[in-house]
Amino acid sequence: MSTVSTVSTVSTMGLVDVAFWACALVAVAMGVLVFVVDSMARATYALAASFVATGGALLLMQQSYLGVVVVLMMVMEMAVMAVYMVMFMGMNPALMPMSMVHSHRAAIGVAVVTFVALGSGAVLVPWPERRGSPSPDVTEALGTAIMESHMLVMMVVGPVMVATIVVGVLLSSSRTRYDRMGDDLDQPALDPPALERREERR
Amino acid sequence: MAEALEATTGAAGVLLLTFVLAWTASASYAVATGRSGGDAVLHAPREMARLLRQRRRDTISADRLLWRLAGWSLLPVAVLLVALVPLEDAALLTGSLGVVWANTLDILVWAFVWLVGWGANSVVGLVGGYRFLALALAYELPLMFALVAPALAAGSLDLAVVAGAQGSLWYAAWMPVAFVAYLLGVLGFSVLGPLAAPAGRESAEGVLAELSGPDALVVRAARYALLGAGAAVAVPLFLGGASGPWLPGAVWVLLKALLLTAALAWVAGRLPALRVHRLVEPLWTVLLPLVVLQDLVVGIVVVAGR
Amino acid sequence: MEMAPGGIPLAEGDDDRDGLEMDVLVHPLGPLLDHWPGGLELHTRLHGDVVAHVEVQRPASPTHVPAAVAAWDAVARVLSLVGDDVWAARARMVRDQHPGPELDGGGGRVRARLARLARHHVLPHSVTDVLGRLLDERIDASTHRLDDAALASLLEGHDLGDVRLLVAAHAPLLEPSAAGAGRG
Repeated sequence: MSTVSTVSTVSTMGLVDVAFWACALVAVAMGVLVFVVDSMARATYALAASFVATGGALLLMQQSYLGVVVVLMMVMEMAVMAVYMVMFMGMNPALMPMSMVHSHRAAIGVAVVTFVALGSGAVLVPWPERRGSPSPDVTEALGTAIMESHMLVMMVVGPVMVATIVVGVLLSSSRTRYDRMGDDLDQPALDPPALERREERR
Repeated sequence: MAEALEATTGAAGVLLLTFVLAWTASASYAVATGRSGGDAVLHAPREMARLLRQRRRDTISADRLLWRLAGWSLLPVAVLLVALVPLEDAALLTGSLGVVWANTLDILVWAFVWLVGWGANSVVGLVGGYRFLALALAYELPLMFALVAPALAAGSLDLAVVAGAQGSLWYAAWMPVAFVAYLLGVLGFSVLGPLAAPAGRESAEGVLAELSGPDALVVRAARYALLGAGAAVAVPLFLGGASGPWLPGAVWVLLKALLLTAALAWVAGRLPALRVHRLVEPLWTVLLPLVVLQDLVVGIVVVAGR
Repeated sequence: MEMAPGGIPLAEGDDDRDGLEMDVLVHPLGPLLDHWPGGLELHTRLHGDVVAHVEVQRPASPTHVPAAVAAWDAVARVLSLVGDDVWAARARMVRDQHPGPELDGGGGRVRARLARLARHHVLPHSVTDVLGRLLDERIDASTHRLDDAALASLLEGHDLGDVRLLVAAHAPLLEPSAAGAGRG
């Protein structure tokens, strides 16, 4: 009885290890692809795929909530980021190939150094032995940790982030999509160039 | 061995159920748009036969990889959503986080619909993609807060626990705002009815415009499958899951899912597509605060009931 | 790097409303589209999805459609475009009954639907406005025709979707001059 359970634990451990390495490799490979591909959409969604693989790795560490939230938030963020990239980049959104890197060599240098530093840190640091045992419900433990003692921080950070996003967009666009229609969206939909042309015709 | 067999039959069952839900949604939608009964039921198979034979038509400089990948990924999202639904006591994909997984899957639709619009390298497709994201932000936040309500009341993110916690008073009955916001979100991620602007006819069907042949088939079918899958997830969330007299629980889940699918698709088919800039404002300024209030009410009830 | 991937020239900058570069695109509409006056061609310049500039080209052959029929046809087309299929079919039924100024119940119900859609901003104000005046025969299609410049002014500044709705609603006023043929 005990041998059977040991064998099955070992074999599942093996499977989990393989899956974890697969996730890790996909995450890194997709991260590299971000700089290799030559289109904004591909770069964005390569990054999204990298984050999804990271979420998968977290799931395998039995941090289910963190894993699924990483997938949820990152796909959402990348979808929105693609819009801003296409909107604010100097290049137009047609599928014109364009390089995704600025100052190529320095970027590669910085990226490699950072990766090696963080990676070697993760591998070489003497991790402490586990003391105690994990909470039976890690999701609940996480919620308590974030919400109980840090509730005030969370409540402040949320509005500040929203305000930053809204103000950032407003400051970066001198005239937005719906300015032309007035506050109640009931004005004749005209912007300066078209408005001037209409005056000329009269 | 027995486990593998069980998993295989489970997977086959989920595929079949997704298919039936999609067909139900399509038939009901067709009835609502004025087709007669028999014609409406046969609409889906006819379209299938037509599109399968249609020759694939490409646009210039299309991003084929992302375009095809996104289009063919929408149906699997619907299948996975259906797999989350607990039939009796367990779903095909059980877990303590079913509610969060459902939310994550509907977020994946953001990426795929935008990419379907982007990949074609066409103006109308891209316009549709942008419309979808504007709309998605506006329906997703009410949808997320709507998902909070049943989870809060049941004290769990497990769909089976949420379903079991409802007793005789379904959550739909005392959380009507959350229920409505959820259903609106379902119409949003299936791009149908009042939230169909990203595929609106006045913009040459937007994200769908350049799709042809099998690619068009899978995306069009996925819209109905997503509607059906969203309705199926609403059963454990809001409609008491397997609870019901006389019949076995699994039958009740299926019945409720099919009825809700048909009703939601019918309503969607009756309503015109709303223009995005007119829809976004009420979603942000009216629906979102109402859903947050709904969560507050549920929270107070939960605390008071302790 | 060639600046015309796949033979399509890249979009250029223009004197634009928001100061963002590179978002002008040349986009043709017509001559054949669903729910679109046959033969009408619009050469538009787009800023994103907003039509900034329109050049009109249209066929010269007049059609002889009674004003009331043309008006109800416009209603049906507009309703079809927003996906209101049941009511579009009802509008077509009214059209096929050769309506006069005195409407039967069917026409009245469709008009009530139009009013409701206008209240909920499903249709732009100008669309329901012109449809109402066409149905009341307060504008005479044979005298109040829109010339090319007027049509361009009408459409510029609207987004792609609203342009389709506006064209569908104004279709009865776009017919080439056919004196005396406007009345049914």
